[in-house]
Amino acid sequence: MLELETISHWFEPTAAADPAQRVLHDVSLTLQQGQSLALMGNSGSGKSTLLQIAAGLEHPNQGQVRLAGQPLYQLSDNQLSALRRDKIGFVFQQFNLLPGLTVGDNILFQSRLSQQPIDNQWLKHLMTELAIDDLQHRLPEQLSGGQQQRVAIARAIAHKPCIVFADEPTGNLNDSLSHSVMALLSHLIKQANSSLLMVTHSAAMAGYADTVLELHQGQLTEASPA
Amino acid sequence: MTKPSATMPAVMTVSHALAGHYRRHPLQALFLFTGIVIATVLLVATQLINAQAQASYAKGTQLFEQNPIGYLVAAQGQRQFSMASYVALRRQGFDQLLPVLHHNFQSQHHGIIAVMGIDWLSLPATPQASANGNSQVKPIAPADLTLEDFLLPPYRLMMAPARMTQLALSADQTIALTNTTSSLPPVIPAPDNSGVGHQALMDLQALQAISNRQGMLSAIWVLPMSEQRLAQLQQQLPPDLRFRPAAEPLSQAALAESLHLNLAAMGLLSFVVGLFLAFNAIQFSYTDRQPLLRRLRLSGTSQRQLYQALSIELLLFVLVGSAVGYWLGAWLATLLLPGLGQTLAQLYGVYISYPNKVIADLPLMPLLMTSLAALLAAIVPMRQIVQQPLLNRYRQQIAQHQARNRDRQLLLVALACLLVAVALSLWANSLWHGLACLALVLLGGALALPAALRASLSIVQRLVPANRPLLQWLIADSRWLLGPAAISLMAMTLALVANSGLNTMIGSFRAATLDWLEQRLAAPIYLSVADGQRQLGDWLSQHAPQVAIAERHTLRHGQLAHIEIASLPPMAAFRNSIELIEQVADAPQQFAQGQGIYISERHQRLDGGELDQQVWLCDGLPNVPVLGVYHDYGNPRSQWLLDEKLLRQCWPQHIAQSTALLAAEGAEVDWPQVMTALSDSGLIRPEQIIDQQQIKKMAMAVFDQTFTVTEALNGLTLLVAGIGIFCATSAIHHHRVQQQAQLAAMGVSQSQRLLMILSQWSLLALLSMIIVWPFGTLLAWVLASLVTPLAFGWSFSTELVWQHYPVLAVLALACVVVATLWPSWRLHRVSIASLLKEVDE
Repeated sequence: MLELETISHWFEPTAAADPAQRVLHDVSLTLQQGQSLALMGNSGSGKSTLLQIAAGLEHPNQGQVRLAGQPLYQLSDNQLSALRRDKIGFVFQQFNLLPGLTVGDNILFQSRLSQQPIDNQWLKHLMTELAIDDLQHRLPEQLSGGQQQRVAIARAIAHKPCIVFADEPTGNLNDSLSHSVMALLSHLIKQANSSLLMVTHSAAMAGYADTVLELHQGQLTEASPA
Repeated sequence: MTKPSATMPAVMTVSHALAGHYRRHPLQALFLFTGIVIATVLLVATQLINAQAQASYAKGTQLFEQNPIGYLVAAQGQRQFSMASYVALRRQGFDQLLPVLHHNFQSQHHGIIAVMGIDWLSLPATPQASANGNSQVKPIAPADLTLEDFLLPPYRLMMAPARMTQLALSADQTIALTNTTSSLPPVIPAPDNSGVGHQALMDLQALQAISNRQGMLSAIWVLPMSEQRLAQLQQQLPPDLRFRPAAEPLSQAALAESLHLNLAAMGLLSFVVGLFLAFNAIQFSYTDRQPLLRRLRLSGTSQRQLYQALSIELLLFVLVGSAVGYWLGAWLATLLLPGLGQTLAQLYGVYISYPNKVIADLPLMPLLMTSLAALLAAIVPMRQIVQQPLLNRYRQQIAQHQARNRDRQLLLVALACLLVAVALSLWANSLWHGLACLALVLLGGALALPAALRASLSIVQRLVPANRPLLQWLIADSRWLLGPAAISLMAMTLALVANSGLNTMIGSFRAATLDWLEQRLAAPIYLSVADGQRQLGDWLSQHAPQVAIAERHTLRHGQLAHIEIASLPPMAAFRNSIELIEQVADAPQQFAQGQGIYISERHQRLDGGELDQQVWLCDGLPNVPVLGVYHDYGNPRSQWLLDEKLLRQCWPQHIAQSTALLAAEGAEVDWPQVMTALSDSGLIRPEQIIDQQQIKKMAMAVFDQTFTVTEALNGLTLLVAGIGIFCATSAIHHHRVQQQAQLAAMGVSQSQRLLMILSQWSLLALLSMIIVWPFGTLLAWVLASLVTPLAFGWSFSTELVWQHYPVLAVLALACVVVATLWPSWRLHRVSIASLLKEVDE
């Protein structure tokens, strides 16, 4: 499903005399359909950068990324956008809902964008599971943080993407809310038969994934789930 | 209470922390600065050109620092007289006299050129001064020119450098004239002390020759002399001349007051547009610093210290912005002055000087106005930011709620403005009322915009089908965008409404003037014949009996100097050419019998002339009633129209300025043949013959040039609004990042995003038309039916041209697309990863 081959990435120095700041060094990983993977690491370890590279959001300095067999960084912007529309779902720490649209329109946004037929039964199931079925006509600004993140999860998997990328999906929530949101996310992703690549600094949240890897000094190492 | 010594460093620390924002976002500082500069520039420019004109009126007519104390003009009010009278006076020892001749030439490439011919030798400062080293007289021309250069062919035409720039003329260039093979002499720039303005200067005899007015003068300037000598001069005046004291400055100022008031209003409009921009920039800079201010408050900074630090910052911006705005305004004034001079010359026959650099003594007034206005503009956003809740929760809800509230409040203010405007339009009786009504309509339109846009976006949103997610988002996000973009859109609306109103008014006025000219120019041919009418009549009765001849008299009323008297030839064609706005019963019959007069609309509106009012014409004639009121477009003076016989009773010696030729009743005339025969007879030179079409063309050329300055200011205001949109789009950049990141992550391509950003602004610009169109039309009506009649005494109906409306929409779209293209391009080019990073910040 997702293959990262010898990814290296560094940030250009801000001053001429400074050395380039290397964040990823020959990182390779593979994620199968329906599998979930949590990436852990200290702040600044490059885990968010790795997620963004894997999702086709940032071009790596070296290496190749394949998603559903397609080399991401050989695609044009239009092709890459189409791939994101059809096969990818995102959940961010900042909830990132579109403020002018209602909850219902937010959830259906990506499905409508990719012009896929809407699976109403799946949608109803999603909304019931996430306990947001009575919030459909509200605007994001009228929701609490936990409600917003549950809507963001519904939006990310409403179109049953091949893979969901989640960057600190519970970073803005308290502990008990984090566990319930995370349990729902992993449960629904399994039901949708999607893969999950998640970045988190919390070992407890990482525990919801099938595999946990740690990024340390630009390289991946195995880590046991907590 | 904290001691000052302890407080000041704390305030400075807070200021330093606040200024850090501008180090990270220098563009925002630039936008705030730009808003203040723009608010100042046009205000200063219009104030300075008005001040320059007023100074010019106060100095009176002046040439090389020589002020005439009076003028010798034709006793019967003619526009010219024979030079023989001047020669006679000189022979009697009156040497403080300067003979002058005025003439307007139609040039091939530079429009109408107003020229004044003077006798260089009679001027105390002469061109030869630099050559002969006489320190008593001041040199007036470059040292490489001698007196001979001015007095002998090819002569020299001395012109103000600003006027040369306006006409795109370079030194030593000659000006080709129409209808003649002659051209005006090579142009030389006038020195700064010359006082030369719209009229260029050349040698009197050379001008007489080129204008075919040999031996004729328009006036004789009486230069300073003792009272005794002046009394002697007045005693020995020949019968064809009379002395008119130089009391013109005051009357000039009064005459052009309306125009200056209109200009000041345009300046204020630009000032308001600029203030909208400054307010916008202030709001953006405060909104962006919300988290910083919250952190400062949490660290123990008091509200008072925040107010102090923000006020110091604002004051610095105002001081530097006003200084730069003042400097740019002075530069702009120098550029615009010839435009105003042209309008004054063509509209009022008033000439002002064009100094090479316009600088007012004190820049205090614009500085005070800018400071006060900036302070007023900053009060609300400053209060909101300083008193914001310390908790970050519900920030978005608060912002949206505040925006909705603001729009509702603005709508209420707009309605109040419109109500007062309606009341003013019903009871307006002075130009001030008219201008206040104008301002209220403009302001009402702009203030109603956000609510109107919000309502129309809601309607549009309901019409968008659910399966068009991008369109759905575009409309929903446009409502969000309305919060931060409303002010700049209001500024654009102000400029567009002004533009629309002014263009419709000018178009309507133009159409009315054209119709009026068609009607008034009853004869097909006009001859500029100063004398010799009798010979001409004799020749025509012998050689072309089918041609009728009519004299045209125009003179100033001796006692009522502000009244111009004109004659109407006693022929049906001329009588039918006068369409009366109001009349008494049997007015035409009474007029034809010389039992009354017609008055111009200006006299009725501005001087209180009324139907049936008895007026005094001259001694020995009983008062006559006013029989009717007629349009007299373009005439800055009030006019009385008399039947020719009645005019002759009062002014029997008056010589007609021009003659009209027309077909006698029932006859048909081959005009080209008659004109050729007339030219061949030697009585008339070809250049003295002007046909009706030529007069219309010249009149419309004058009309079009009259609005040069107003249109230039109008264009500049629109440019200012465009800059405002650009600043707003650039400043909103940070706030758009989150939306862009989300859209990109969900698979909206770069090109789609760019198109959507441009579409959003275009949609808002197009929806703004729901305000711009009706308010532009309303403004045109106020200008045509209220302001122009009150300012100039001319009324005309507002003519709506449907093509004007789509053009306005295209103008708004172009303004918005040009202004948003670069910021939108910049935003869509940013990589999604960096967009996400900005979100995290």
